[in-house]
Amino acid sequence: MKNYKKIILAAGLVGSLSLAGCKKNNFEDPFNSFAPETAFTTPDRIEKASVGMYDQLQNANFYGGWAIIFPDIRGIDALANPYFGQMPMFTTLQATDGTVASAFRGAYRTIYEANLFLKYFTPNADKVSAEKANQYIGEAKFIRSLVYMSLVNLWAQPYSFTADASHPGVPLVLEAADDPFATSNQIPRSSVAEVYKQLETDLLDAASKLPTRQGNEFNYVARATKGAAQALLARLYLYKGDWAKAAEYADLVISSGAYELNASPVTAFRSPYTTAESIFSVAHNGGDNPNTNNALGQHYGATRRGDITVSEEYIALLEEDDLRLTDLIEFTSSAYYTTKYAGGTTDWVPVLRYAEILLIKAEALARQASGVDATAISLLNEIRERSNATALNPATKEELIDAILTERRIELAFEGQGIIDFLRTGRAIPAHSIVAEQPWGSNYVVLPFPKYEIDKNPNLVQNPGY
Amino acid sequence: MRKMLCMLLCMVVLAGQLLAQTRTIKGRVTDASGNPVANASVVVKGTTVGTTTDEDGNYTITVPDNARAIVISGIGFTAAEQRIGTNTTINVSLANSKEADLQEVVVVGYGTKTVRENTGSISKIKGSDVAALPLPSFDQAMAGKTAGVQVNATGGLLGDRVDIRVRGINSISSSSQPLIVIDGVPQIALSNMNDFNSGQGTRFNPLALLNPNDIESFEVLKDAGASVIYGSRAANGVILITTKKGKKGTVKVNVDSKVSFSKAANMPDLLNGDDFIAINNEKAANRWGAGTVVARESDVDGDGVNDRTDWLDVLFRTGFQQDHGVSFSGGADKLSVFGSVRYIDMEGIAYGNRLRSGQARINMDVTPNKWFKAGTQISYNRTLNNGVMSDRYLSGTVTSGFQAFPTVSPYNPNHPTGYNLAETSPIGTLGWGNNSRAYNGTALFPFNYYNPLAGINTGRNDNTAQDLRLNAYGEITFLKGLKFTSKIGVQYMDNWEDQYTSPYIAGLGTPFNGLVQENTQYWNQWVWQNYLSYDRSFGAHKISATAGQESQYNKWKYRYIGASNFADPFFTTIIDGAYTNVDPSSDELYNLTGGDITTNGMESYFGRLGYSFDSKYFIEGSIRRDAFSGFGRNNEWGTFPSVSAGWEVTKENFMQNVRHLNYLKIRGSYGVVGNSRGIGPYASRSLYSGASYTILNGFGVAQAGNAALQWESSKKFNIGFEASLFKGDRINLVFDYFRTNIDNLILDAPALYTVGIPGSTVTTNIGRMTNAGIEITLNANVIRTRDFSWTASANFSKIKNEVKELVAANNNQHITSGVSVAAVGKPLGTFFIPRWAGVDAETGNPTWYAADGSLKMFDPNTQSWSDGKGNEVSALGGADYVYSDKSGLPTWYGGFDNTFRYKHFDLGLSFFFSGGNYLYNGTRANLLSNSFSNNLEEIKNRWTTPGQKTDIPRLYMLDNTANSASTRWLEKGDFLRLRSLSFGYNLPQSVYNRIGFDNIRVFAQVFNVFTITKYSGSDPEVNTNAGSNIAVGVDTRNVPQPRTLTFGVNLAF
Repeated sequence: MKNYKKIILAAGLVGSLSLAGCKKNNFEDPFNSFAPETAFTTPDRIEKASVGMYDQLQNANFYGGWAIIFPDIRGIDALANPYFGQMPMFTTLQATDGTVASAFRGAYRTIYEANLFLKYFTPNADKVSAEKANQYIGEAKFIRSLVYMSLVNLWAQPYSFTADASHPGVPLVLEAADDPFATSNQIPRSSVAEVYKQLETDLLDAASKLPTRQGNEFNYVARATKGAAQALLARLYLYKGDWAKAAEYADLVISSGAYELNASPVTAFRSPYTTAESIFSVAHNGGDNPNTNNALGQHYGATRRGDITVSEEYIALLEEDDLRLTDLIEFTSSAYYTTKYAGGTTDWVPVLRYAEILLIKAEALARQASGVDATAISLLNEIRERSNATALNPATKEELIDAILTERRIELAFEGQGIIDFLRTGRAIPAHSIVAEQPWGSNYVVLPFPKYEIDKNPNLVQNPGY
Repeated sequence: MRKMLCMLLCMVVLAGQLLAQTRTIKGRVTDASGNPVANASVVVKGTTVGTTTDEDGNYTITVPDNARAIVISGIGFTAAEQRIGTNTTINVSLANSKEADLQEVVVVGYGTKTVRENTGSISKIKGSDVAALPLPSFDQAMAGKTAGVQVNATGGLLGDRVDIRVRGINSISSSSQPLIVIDGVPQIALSNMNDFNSGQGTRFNPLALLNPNDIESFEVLKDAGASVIYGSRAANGVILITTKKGKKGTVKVNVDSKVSFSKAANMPDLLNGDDFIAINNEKAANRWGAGTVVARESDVDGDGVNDRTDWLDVLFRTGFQQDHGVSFSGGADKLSVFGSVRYIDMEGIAYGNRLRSGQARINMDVTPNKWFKAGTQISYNRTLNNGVMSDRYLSGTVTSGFQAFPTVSPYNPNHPTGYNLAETSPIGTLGWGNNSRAYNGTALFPFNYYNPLAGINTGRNDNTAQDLRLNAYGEITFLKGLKFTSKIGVQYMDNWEDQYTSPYIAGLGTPFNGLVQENTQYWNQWVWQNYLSYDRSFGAHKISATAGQESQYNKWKYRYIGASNFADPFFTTIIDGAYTNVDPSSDELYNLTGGDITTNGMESYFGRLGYSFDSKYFIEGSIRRDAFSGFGRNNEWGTFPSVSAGWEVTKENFMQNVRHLNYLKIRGSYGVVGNSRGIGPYASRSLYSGASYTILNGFGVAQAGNAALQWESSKKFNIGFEASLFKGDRINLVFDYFRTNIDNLILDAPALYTVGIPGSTVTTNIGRMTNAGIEITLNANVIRTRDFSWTASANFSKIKNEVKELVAANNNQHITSGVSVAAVGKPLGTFFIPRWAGVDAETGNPTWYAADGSLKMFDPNTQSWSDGKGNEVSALGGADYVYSDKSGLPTWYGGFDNTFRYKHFDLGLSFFFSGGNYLYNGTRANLLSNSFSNNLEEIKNRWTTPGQKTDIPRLYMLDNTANSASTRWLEKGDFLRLRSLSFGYNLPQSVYNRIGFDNIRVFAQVFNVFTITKYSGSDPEVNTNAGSNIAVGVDTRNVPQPRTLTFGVNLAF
């Protein structure tokens, strides 16, 4: 009797043991992710994968805000507290700086998303309509170009630094790597001219492929459009000093009729962020990590972290009744703050605004004209009068150009033009706050490549001085 | 046994016959740790007159007047002789005999062995050695207790995470924490249960959920011979924890109660108000000209006098702690039970930090008949931890708390909260009184100061953790020696983090008009083991074999919810209708919910075969095969073999004449074990996941995978000996040499940033590393007399770590974490920073050495770099970084315990030491800031006059170039600490017997008594970057460790 019991028990246990051994029901596929191929199997999924590129454009360390903030705090109108480390400084910024590394890494992370999309999408392009296929390719190229535009202007001397722009730019990565550790990834810096050429090619392709408008008002501004690609081209030509092309592409945007200035300079910076003044912005909402430290509103907002204040130099540019002073600047706790980013963590990142296009056209015309260009003056005053600033009537070409550059500082302040406008126009960075003057051409006006990258890529040449 | 009893009976009869001229002696026989020894024989020397002790170790003997001495002996003990003299009470403490020690059982994976048979390197620690310390988790108490085990606390906050390292750091990117196995069941691999701020906020160690009083013993499996049975999880060592069981034939109740008072052992020495004003105005004057004033007197609290605040006094305190436990154990023939309940309530040294925990356990074993045995171990714990923000938050007790102005009060009666909180931008930060926030538009503060006191008193940073462990096993003995065991272990843990920030507090409060964030994580695990074991002797041959199978499944679920924009500060938690979730400035609705879920599984087969001859030669082979769902498809199964052998040399005939050497066993092992801890559940795959763009759903790449991903493999070689020397085994010595060659290191291999993959890393098996060292353990019964004994135990470990290979595709470039690197040819944690050249005596400017050894001087006035002779040079840059040949990794450590017993008193001293490493004193770098902040007293040594020799440059507001990473902040990390000093008194038997107790003990203890070190920071036992294998030895605003005074009582009845 006793033995039977023993045998039954043992048989039961051994039986279940062998069951447990055979069936691997404890190995499960992920619930939170899937294989990349899965993302490109249907038109609907491809659409979602294209949206993923914009999610990466929200990258907290680049186009989610930093790509806009860095040119400004390295310029003279925005002053940053030590949160940004040595970023606003010049001679004490090192190649080991963590902020520099994060931004550089964030930029290429976004580029990878666009490249990877192109790589997976190309063999699946026939799954969607030709129109959609064009749109996706245009979007990928626009996003990639936008990031490169910031990269080349932060990490390399301006186009005009050498006569043929043959000085080093940034590494051009245009394909997603299969093997992250292959030596083929050790890409050297292309020259600034090569980078601009690539961006021009990509943006022209994007402009030809992208729709003028797609979907709803959200998509008009938050996703790439033909107008956005043309506007970025106008900026590219301006930075390059190709005034004729800058004017031409500014005109294409203007003549599209899709965009106009809002009655108030404030409107473009307030919800729903989709007025006809905004050509392209990186959208954000309350679903995007509500307490992120890297949002524009966190850094600029007086009631938030308030890391960035507005300099006395900037205030001095503005007339007393200028709406950009009365409605877009607040004075509190003995410092000035911009109110362009009032939404805390939900502000859209303004990338291309119609006001910039008007000023690009004005500058391009002013520079091309032999004398004082009347259209340029009227464009300048269109911007000024919208904000209750008195109309100007510059007497000479030089005065007009100066006035336009000053107007850019006023109008486009805190939108990522800061130091770039000084550098592309051959001007020194004036001494300001606790920062000493940096002459034009100084080694320190461009960011160092992260030491991390220099150490691993023997083909990457560091900027001099770091 | 039967024979023995018969003999004793005879003796008693004989004793009764000798009536003339006698007297009576009473006494108690105990073992080395004070437990009663029953059935010990007490015999008058040279006679057959004798008796035996009862259950409680008590005896009464009638001896002839001429008797000189009594001899006390017991099974498993070395016989002791005591002179009678005129005593009528003779208490005796017996030492374990070597034979008994060798028969002692050690727990190994899936079974037990005797010490004699063991061929692996195993350290055993008794639960009682760690239970008395005033620490929330037992792991911290293991520091210095055993060779080869290094324990590092993150700081002085309650329940903060702890790093345990067995024989060094055995990984670079993966976890280096050992596998914890409780009662045979591998525990969920987790070092920190909290998730806020990516787990760097308030941290919580899951091992704080185990009652140290329930622990019978720990076995630390260190070499491959011992640990290989845990295969792919054994490379970091294995800690086996065995909980207590009821003992047959006894019923016992133990009450342990203690109260403690703790206070920070050491604090930074900060400037007082007057010095603060002078120093900060000097910073400003040096920058903007004499007479520039930024620091001024303020009277924020309105009491009519200038505010003076010692923030350390406000934010740190004497914490009161109480810990009460009751346990019972008992056993009859077929049933034995152990149960316990415990309640602890600990106040930390940091204001607001408090931990309350309730714990219960029942262990039960039934043996209904000879061939069947079954049992359960059930434990439950629920803990509420009131955390405080510390090193990783601007509002932290050690962040704002260290640097806030001593000239503003924490209080402001005019503020609705009563605290000093700014009412202009940045609203809700610490009000700055009359001080300047900015000078000519330039911000002066290093960051927005918070009022930590207000934050703590108006908000919450709590977590509530639960842990339920259920084990059940059954054991069938089929034939003699052949046994089948099936065991199921279920572990369920959850942790609910609850954070609330009041609308009056900046950061997470004011901008959201009040914010509640709750995270809940759930961990579920089941493990099922089935194994056969066979133990049988055939004459001089003994065979023991184990073979079995194990399945495991883990599931982790994560949910977060939140609420913002509350109707009123009255509402501080999620209440329907009391909040809107709307951003007060943009009317955007916040989505404050989210979550994640992952699972992983493991399938294993294991076997062990041991053979011994004549209890003299031992050999054993073990193997385990593991399949883990996290491994790549191409490498799902791993095989881990080991072989070990032992030789009891003293059993050989030729050793019989060797004097003073009673026991010598030589043993060695070699094997391959793996490390899979830290491999993400899907780390091998390339993955797309959800990537929404505001209102649009999207997919984005989540991970670049590696289908070949596998375990790290550690080839471990170990050779050592165990010896006991001199009469009465006065000295016991254990020595081990080990060498671990790790290859296939799981590296989060850094790819070029320009490649652009998520995280810039791919989890890859690349690289090699070695750890080699020695371990010595020495136990000595220095003095043993009737009334006085002194036992000493010392252990010492020396270890050398060297990284051999990294990512070849990256030119073997080092891997950086903060100021530290993993670099080929150097130990982990080598500091890679520029070399500080001191302060130029003429100008007070900071200088460094460039890579070529030339000088680089920075002049903050002109923001320019020169060689110190007026020639311009390039800025200090990446090229000037050099390997410092100093590492944060200790190369030697150990402990030294002494126990003195005199009659009823005992005194214990436990030392702990560590060194050979350097510490990066980031706290000092922060607290010598040139921003407008409070500083260390040390800043008063700043350069002021030409020719002055000092290490602190001329003050210059906002210029912190001299505070950037350099060897300026490296200091030697050697220290010796008297970790605990305890004094106990066992009440005389006559007293406790009268009131019905078996034992009463009272004790007092000081924990963290003193530390001898040259390190200038608060504590050399510092580890800000818990969990990092590279950035070790970095001190960044650690909460200081407490010094604790404890009073306790143990009652047994």
